Amino acid sequence: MSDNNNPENIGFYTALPSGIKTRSGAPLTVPLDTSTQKFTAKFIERSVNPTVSDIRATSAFKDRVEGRQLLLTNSFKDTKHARKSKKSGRKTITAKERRVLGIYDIPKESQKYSLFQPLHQLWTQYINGVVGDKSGEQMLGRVIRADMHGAKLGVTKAKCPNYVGVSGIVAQETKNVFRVITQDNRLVVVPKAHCVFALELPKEKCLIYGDQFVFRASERAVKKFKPKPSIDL
Amino acid sequence: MSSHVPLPKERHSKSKLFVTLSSLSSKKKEHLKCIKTHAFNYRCTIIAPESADIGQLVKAHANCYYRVTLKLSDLIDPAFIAEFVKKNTLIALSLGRRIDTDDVFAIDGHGTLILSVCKDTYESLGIVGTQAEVPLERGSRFVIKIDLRAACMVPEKKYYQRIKAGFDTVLNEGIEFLVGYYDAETGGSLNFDVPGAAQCTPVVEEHTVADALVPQLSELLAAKGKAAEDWIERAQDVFEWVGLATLGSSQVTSPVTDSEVCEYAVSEPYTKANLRVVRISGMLSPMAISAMAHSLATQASTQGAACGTFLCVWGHEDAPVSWALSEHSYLTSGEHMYVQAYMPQNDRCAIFQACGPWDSHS
Repeated sequence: MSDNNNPENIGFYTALPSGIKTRSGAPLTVPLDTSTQKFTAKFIERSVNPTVSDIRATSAFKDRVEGRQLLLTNSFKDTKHARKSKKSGRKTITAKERRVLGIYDIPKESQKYSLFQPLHQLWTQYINGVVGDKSGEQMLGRVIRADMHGAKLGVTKAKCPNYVGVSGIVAQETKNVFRVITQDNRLVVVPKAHCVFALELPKEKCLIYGDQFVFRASERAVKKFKPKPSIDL
Repeated sequence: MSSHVPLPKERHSKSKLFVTLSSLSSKKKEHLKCIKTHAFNYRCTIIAPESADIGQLVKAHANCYYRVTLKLSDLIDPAFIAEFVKKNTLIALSLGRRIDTDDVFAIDGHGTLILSVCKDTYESLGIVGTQAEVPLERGSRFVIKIDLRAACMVPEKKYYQRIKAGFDTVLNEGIEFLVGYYDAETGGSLNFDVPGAAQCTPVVEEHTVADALVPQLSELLAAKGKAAEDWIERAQDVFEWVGLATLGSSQVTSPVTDSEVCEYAVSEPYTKANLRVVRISGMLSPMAISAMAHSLATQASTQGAACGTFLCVWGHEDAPVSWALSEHSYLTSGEHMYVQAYMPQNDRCAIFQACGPWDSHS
């Protein structure tokens, strides 16, 4: 039986080229014969609005059609592959990963008050610079926007009485908690909500109502604070 | 702003009257238990047949008490605890402080320091307590109980240091107290040797009521099993009569039957008798009342008097606790009082315990 009689080589039954079978290998650079190229150019020129000049029609063909390829099949998507590539593209780690790795955890051997005293001295210089010669409300307006890492603060009032009396140097501040190193070398996590803190400034003391302070330090720095009607815990 | 969570109606709208029948010779001695667990008493009235010499009995138990200004930190001083709290019985109650609006402090006679404080004080104090059960708005009041006789109440312990820090920084003002200091064995008053302590003596008043109509108790005391409605009504009538008699009302002698003004008649059956009424006011120790109750019960059960004997005791309206450290507060009246009724030649007595709506005793 000759190849022409083989139904697999005739018309409808012809086997697909290997490039189409494997989608990933779909050809992107298809060689075009000259007659097709000429036909396409003429077809575009003919198809565009007859009122448009020939020069514009030619430029439209060159800009939008010439050298461009339209893939008639869907682009191949390997979801697994796509996910992998997306992951590898991310430059930061998630909060969950951060927790697992414990990169912000303060090691037990570093939870010493004496180690954080230089930080407090640094903070004192910083807050002096921030506050300057301001006093009263202007000073408070600056203090609430200041960074609290290294500040000395204590809990004066709390809904849960166990927090009352906790005082020390702020080692970390998050949106919801202060992590404080106490004088007896303990790291205490104090929630901002439902607590009132006494902040020690170089010249005076001020109270911070934690319920109005539940922001990230970075958000706080640019936030416009408004007076709140209730200071109830 | 704290949320307003009203209590269910049944919790704050009803005063309660508990009536218990007790045998004087039983081992449980319910009548004495009722007295001994009620620490803060300010008035006691005894109504007895004229033949009984109750005036002498009351005067013999009129123990002196003291008014003194102390700081709370003084109460937890180790020397103070060793001298006054552990050795003998010390009962103290802050004076002039209202239970519904102020911070109230008390020592119950068994070494428990009770602080009933408002929300602001509790949040600054730093001592763990429990939310008060009774105020209308939940979380507006807290009760802290500190056992002064506990082993941890020494300066070396953290718990003690925490309490001391709270008392030094927050509750650091002088507070006027009524203090009763009694011998643990005999119940007699002892010298409360504290600078600034002023001694006070209870006031005793005595009068006679001639031809009083005294309700008979035999029917009330004879009840067994589940209380019938008639019995409940009879018990309420007797309690009402005791109230009128202690107030000195003339209606216990000649009932008013003018329907336009008031209508009251002593419920039948009753006995006509001459009564002696003795009232003692001041700070009264449970031991003294218990001794008086014991004498009255013995007299009543052995002597063939014409009518029963009644012992009526009122608690301080601003006391933070009533019976057995049950929480007590004030709604329309801060009453927590009890009446004991003894029948002649009868081994049983009836105990009436009345609580205001905001009293967790049950």
